Amino acid sequence: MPIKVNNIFHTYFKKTPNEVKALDDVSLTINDHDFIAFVGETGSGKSTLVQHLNGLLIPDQGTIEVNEFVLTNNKKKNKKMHDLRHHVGLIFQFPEYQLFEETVIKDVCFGPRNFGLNQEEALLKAKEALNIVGIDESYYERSPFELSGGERRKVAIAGILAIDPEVLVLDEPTAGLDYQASDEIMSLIYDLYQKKNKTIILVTHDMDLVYKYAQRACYISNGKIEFDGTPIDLFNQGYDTLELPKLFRFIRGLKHRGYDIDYKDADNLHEVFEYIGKKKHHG
Amino acid sequence: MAELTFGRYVSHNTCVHRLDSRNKLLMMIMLFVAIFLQFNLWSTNLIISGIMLIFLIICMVVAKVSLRQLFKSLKAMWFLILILLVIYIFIPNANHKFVAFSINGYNVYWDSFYQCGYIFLRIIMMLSITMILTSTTKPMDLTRGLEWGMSPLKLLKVPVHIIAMILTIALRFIPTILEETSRIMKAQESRGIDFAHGSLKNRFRAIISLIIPLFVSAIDRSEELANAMEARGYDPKAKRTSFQKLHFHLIDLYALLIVLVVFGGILTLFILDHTVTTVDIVYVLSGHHAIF
Repeated sequence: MPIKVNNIFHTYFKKTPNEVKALDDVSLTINDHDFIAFVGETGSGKSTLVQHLNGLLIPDQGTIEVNEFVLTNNKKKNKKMHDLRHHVGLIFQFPEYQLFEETVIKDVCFGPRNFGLNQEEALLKAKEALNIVGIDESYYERSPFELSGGERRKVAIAGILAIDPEVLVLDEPTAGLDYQASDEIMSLIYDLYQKKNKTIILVTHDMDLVYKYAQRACYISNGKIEFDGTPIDLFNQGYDTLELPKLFRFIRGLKHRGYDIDYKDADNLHEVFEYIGKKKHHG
Repeated sequence: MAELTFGRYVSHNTCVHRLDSRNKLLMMIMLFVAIFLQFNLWSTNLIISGIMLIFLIICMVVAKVSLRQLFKSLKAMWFLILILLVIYIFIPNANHKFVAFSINGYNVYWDSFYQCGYIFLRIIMMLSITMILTSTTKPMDLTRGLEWGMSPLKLLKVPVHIIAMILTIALRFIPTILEETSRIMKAQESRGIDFAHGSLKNRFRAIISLIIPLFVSAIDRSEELANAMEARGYDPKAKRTSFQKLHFHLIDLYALLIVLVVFGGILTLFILDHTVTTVDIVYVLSGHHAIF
């Protein structure tokens, strides 16, 4: 079932001098099996938007439809929040700070237990999730606090995966990790997208990730969706506040030097290199 | 972003915001003393408290402190009031005289209700004074004011600067920790925890899932901060000057005078009230009988 966001507004610190319009009339539809990236400056409202998707924040105006569930400003109608959170799993920035149990396995079981599974079922789900993120059995009985940063993050991500949500929202999942760890995490997310048919919603500043993984990109600025389309089209728009992916910067450099290529060619690099080679040869 | 919490600094530009923090602290102490002065007659107590309350509400309106926030925090206090009431009803007091009703021969006195209400009133007043202070004064100014106030203690070898630094850091990190709290709460809510509903056992679990991560990150952060301060050569014993100086303006004098009038008035009444002859005068004038 698609997630429909209809004209939502959200304001922080209402009626004080610090009032901030975080979301200003946002509408979009997120289809099943989308891999969508939200990009934009810090404070543009992307985190606020994704927190609406599983009801952590409630819109001041407008509605969000997920399955038959409708999230509105009316608090009395917002029952079944539990179901919504089961359907949409949210992984926060620096999720390692939400670990609290004595052992890794207990912490990963925490989510599924809260959603009504019994101990054995939860244990199964937890083992499956830990397997996906590549944490092996020797870690199960260790304390999460003695693991390295990357391992802790994997355990925390497994904590959400164990709930087995259909839609997975990730807020800056690679922030603060080295290249190898962030690559590992992104490829496991991509596996979930491809093999388990999950819908992935990614909030990020890293345009390389957007280019490499996302099928669709939304550029958010001052609480409004300025652009919604493919990543390549987004980079073609040339927003000042967006840094291009490394590859695109490379192509832009080539263009400046008079080579006849375009961002669209990024997908077939082979031809680009052949073209450059030929030109060098003849030129 | 954390929701606005009780007494957090709000950057309006009112005359109260512009007052010197030392002055505000001084005025706060005077008003607190005034609240704790208790008179002989219950009616005087209530009248004086009423006048104080009106004065404080005017201050709050002038300082643009949200009254709504005060009421919100009062809503959370009904439990405290209930306990107080139970204590006052069940602890026998020979001074209680006015029977409200009696259950199976046990007398419940009006006096208990009055005592309870009076305490409640005083709590409201203290809360509003604290709110006016903290929501109109930047935390840094507040600690500088405190440091100034404690400076005479330096003669007794009290490490005033260190205390002030600890306070500054503590105050500085309150919003950060509140933000962290709301973030962890949201993260655990995503994992199916419900902080607002559920059985006692579930709620206990919910709190544990909040407190442990909070402590872990607070300890991490304090270590980082200590290292960062040391790396920049912080020496608690060094003599230092302040980047921003506090200034006592004319408007401070006016404010101080107003508070002095209120404080002085109540103090004078209090002294008169506790002198035997004037109690007699009040007797005769009001025609009341002393209850307490």
